Amino acid sequence: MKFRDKLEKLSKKQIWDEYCSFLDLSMEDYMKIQFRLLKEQIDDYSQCFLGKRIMKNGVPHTINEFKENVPLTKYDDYQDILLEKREDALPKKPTTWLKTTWESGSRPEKWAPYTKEMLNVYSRNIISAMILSTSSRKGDFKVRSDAKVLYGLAPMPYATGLFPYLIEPEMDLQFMPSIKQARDMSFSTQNKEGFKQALKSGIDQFFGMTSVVYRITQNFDEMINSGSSDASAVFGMTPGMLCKIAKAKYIAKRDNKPIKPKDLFELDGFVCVGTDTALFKHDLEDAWGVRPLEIHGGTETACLATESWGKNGLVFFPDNAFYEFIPKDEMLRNEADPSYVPRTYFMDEVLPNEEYEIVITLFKGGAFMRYRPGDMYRCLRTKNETEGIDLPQFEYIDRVPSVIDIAGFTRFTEKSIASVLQLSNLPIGRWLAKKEYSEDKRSFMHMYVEVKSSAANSAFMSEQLILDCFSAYYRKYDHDYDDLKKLLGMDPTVVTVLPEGSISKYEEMRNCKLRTVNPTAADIINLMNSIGSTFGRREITLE
Amino acid sequence: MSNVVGILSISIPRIAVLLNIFLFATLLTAKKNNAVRFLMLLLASFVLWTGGSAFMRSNSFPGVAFWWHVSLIGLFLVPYFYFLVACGFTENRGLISKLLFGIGTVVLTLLNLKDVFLTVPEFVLNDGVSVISYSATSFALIPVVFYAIVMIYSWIILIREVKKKGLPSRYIKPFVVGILILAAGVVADLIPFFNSMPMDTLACAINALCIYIAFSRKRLYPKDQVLSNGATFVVAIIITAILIDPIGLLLSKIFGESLNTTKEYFILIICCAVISVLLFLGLNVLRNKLFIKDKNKKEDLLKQFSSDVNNSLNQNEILNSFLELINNEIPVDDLNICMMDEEDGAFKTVSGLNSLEEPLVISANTPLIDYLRKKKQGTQYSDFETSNEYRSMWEKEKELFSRINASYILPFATDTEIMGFAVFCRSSVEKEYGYDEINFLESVAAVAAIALKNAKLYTALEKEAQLDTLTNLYNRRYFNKRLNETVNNNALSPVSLVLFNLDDMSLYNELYGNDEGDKLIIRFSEILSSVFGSKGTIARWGGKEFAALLPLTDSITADQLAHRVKEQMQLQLDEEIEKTKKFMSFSAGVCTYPAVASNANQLVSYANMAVFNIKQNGKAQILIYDNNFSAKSKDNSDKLSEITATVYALTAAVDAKDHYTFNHSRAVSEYATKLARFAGYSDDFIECIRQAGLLHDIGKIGIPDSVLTKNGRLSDDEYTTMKKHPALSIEMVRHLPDLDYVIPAVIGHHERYDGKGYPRGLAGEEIPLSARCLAIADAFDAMVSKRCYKEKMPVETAISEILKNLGKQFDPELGRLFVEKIESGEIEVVDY
Repeated sequence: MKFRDKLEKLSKKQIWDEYCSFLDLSMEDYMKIQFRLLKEQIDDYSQCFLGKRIMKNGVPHTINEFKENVPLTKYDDYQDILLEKREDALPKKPTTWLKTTWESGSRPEKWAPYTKEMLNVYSRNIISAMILSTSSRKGDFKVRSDAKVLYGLAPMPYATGLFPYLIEPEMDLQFMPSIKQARDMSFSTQNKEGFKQALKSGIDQFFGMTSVVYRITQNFDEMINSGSSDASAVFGMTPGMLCKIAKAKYIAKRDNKPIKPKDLFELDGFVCVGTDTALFKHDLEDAWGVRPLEIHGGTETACLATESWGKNGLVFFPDNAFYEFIPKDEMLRNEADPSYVPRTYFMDEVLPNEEYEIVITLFKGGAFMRYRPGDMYRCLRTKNETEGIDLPQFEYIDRVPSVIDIAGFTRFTEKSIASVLQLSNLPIGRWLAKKEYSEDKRSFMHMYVEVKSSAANSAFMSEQLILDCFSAYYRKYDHDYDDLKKLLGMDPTVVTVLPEGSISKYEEMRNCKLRTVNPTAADIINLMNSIGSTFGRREITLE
Repeated sequence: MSNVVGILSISIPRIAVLLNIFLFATLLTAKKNNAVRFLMLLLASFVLWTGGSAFMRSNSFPGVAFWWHVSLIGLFLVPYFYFLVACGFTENRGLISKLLFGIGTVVLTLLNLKDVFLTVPEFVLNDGVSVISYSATSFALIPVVFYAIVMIYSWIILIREVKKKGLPSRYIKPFVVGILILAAGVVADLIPFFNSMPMDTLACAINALCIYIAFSRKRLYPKDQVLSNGATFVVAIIITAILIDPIGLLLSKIFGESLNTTKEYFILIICCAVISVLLFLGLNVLRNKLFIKDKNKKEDLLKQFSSDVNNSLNQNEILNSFLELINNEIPVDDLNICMMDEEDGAFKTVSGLNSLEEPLVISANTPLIDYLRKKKQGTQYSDFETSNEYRSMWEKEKELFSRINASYILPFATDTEIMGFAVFCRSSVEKEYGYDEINFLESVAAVAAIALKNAKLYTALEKEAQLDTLTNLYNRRYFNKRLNETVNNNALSPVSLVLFNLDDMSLYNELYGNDEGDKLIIRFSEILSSVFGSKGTIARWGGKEFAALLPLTDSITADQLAHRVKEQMQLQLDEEIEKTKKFMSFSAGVCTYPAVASNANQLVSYANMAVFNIKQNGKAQILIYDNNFSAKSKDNSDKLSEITATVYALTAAVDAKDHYTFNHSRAVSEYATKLARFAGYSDDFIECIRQAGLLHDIGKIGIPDSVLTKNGRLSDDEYTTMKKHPALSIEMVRHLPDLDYVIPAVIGHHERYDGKGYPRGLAGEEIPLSARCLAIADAFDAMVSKRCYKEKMPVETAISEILKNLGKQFDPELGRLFVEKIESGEIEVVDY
């Protein structure tokens, strides 16, 4: 039975039980599902070429053997098979392949295979998230099979592009723009067209990348005023929307306040995906009148987690992947000494307020085993007594410290930044890069660069020139960087010039070695104080 | 003619209303879902329509106008409720259409109360017949169009949903028939001939019946719940009430003016009471036929099933009864029964309606089992698919259930465990079972579960009785049973027997104590289990003896397996810290049927012979008893001559005590040896018999001379003393380890084939073969030789005595052979 039929024929309780009762699992039952599906995956995996290579130390028969015999992996361990799309080397034949960038374009695009069974789980979990997004208490939800959905997620073959394709056979959702229309559009055009359509006929649900949604939210008033004044736009609007816009404009003018999305739209559900969601959640709730539900996943990991009806912490789906967690100190130790094998913990071993790097083993014939996608989570609580959830809930923090993710679009690594600096021929000596946030909560990469003494007195070596030059080259290097500026209207990089040798001096003084990417906030402040400089941008708030 | 029309004009609506009331009442006590509720609403509107029409036509109180409006309210509600029924029947939600049509219906019904569409009817005389006359206003088209839309839309829903869901046509046929009859009824009203007969109300009732049948076919209400006793009584009263009028008329016609009012009422009340009772009884009969019959039949079947399975302690019998019952009563394409395997806890197919290409094997940790354990009752497979447990199902498990079209799982559960479950497979569109069927299945499963539990307990006890308590291997009794079955069932295939005898076990016990000895035996049994596994049956044959029965195994393979046991034992001994314990070993004899032994007894005897042979030559060997075994044994001639010397020394002692017994022993040995040779036994076996013959009466050394050499008949006490001589013989022989192989022959030579012998009362082939040979030889010599208390018996008489006792005292085959050889002179009579 398809989901649309279930909505017609089954009671709310039956639907809730099927899709959302995993939130009622006890920790013991949750782990039972985890271990059983892990066993199935190991059995399948051990039969294929990739599995034999990854599990070269022997097929594990116990969970301890799994930890001891199977190494922690990164994409490099799979690249020769996955980049070539060698289906014969995989545990199961994939139905589709999804891609994402790899180290900001410094390497080829990463491809990840999805089997039919993985997609079935993905589909079920997405519907669970959709139900939960419309719910404010256990068992109650409002999902319409023909709901109008404003869709602001990256298109295929990115992982988020899969959502509409998975949901389409199950429901009659009206995506804005339609899947067919969106197929030929850039992401930027897709968002604009979607918003235009939303203004014409209203929306019931909103699926979007948090950074994009936030941008739309911030510029909503302006967009309404410019969009609705256009005669052609007004022409296609439903009478209901026209009335709402007129009313909203009248009230805004009367009270001298901007129009907010909630003045026009009454959302049943609101789903956000991407970095920094936690940061924008409150503002988005205020603007849209509905608290957004965060889901998290990735190209390699599928849909990993969703928030519950309380929208206050992610719960990992039990049947998507086997989860292990590397505590932050273990991760840092491993980063400093790659030969060190960090310890991992299972879902029933995590501790509240601890930060972890996640390790996943995909179920249902997935390719990745003990894979480190590079995401950091904080365990908020091990059980939620208010909501009666006996499972740990997490908050997505960010990428691992060696990666700077801006708005979910661009990822900077030490390697990518160094490559671009080299390409640009800028006379830069040592440099540091850190993810920071502006007052309006936008994230950006702050580069602290030492200009070589030979060029230091040149009038051209201003911070703006370095930024322009760096941005120009980075755009060529990684197209997503360009999208970021177009979509969000922001420059993702800020540059502060330091005197040559100041970083080394600081290191000598403190007798420490600074991380090039994401050094601690305290180090940055002390470094700046030590060179007697005022802070580059006073409005900056450090993490 | 006009009277007939008049009666029909009144009767038809009454019949219609009665039928509608009856159908409505039947549903009052049924478990209601939306579809049933909608059907009740429709029937209620039919009742208003036909009831109003009936009372209007009979000009009943309070008047035509009132009943006219009642009838029209019913009529105006019918299309909307018909639409609701169509939605309920096809499980269509259609919230907006329900709302719109509902509002339309309410508005039109209210307007109708204001006579907007039709004028209030009047009775007018038409050709002398009083007919109802009314006229439509110019607005009448509005409800006609509206209700036409409602009805057309209802049919669109019915057809669309039936097509979409692929429902069987038999569900929809009654709807079609009903609507056609209704249409015909309405059209008939327009024909002058039927002008004064309200055919539409009759058609309405028939239509109601058709829809009712459609609901019944789709099992939308449980048949056994409809029309309780109370409801039947109410229906009877209502029908009587409706009939009061005609009864009154009838009484008036019969008695005319002769009755006064009081008497008339008195008779009327009596008549009504009688009619009510008769109607109640009649309706009860009808109810039983229509609704309860099926329920009663099921109850009877359940009782019969309960009785059948409770009388059985055999799982297969119980499951066969279950299968038969389900196959007859429940629609199912296939049914597979999986029961828990005690060894690995997995659930495996043990029976089914059709045999599967690959039997189901569902491991005990399959989430389905957890799910059933929680629910402890049957479950639609589709419900399981929506559970959290289903999330952890493996794809191959999902595929398995999908391949067999699993639709319903019925566990055989007790309070503590799931013993097994039945998987109902259906490929049809209507996969899920209705309320009646599930109820029935649950009852059957509950009965079956108790019976299966009892059968399981019985099997466990039976198995316990088959096991050796120390080693958990089978005991000798069970092993013998399996041995005979296996040999009998494998006439052409090889069956090997390996007999293991632990060497120096007594010494081991003496050195380390019996507890250590027991541990060694347990360890040895574990080695046997690991080596032979499922290849055959292993048993503890005796204190320090073990046996392995290996079907479809030749002697070479059996020998290899025995050597693996030896290797395993050595490995374990190597791990022993105490060096003294390392001396343990075993001797094993291997024999194979039918290549060497021709029956089970020979198989055991020959394997035993091989063990004896090893023991005579030392220990710690494995020896195959084959057709050349005798030749190999000749190599042991030195050993044999030593034994022979011992035997002669013993017989000399007998001679000294009683010369007659000495001669008798020699003669018995002679006869038995020859008999064994003519029977085709091996040389070793013949030698064993020869020695046993010489020693069979050695126990007589211990019998007092007064008894042994008494002239005349022995008293009862003396006979009892004399009967002790086989046991005394054993006492003497067992102190000569090299001669212990003759014990079975010596101890058994006074056993009788019919089980009436002594000392153990063995019967038939339970008696060792060598003992059966000795018994014939012993009896024959006793008869043909002279004793102090009797003369010689003629050989012919002795022969006829033997023939007379074949199958009673003697082995029939051996006895017949012996007689044949005596008669032919091939066995000469020994004279002494």
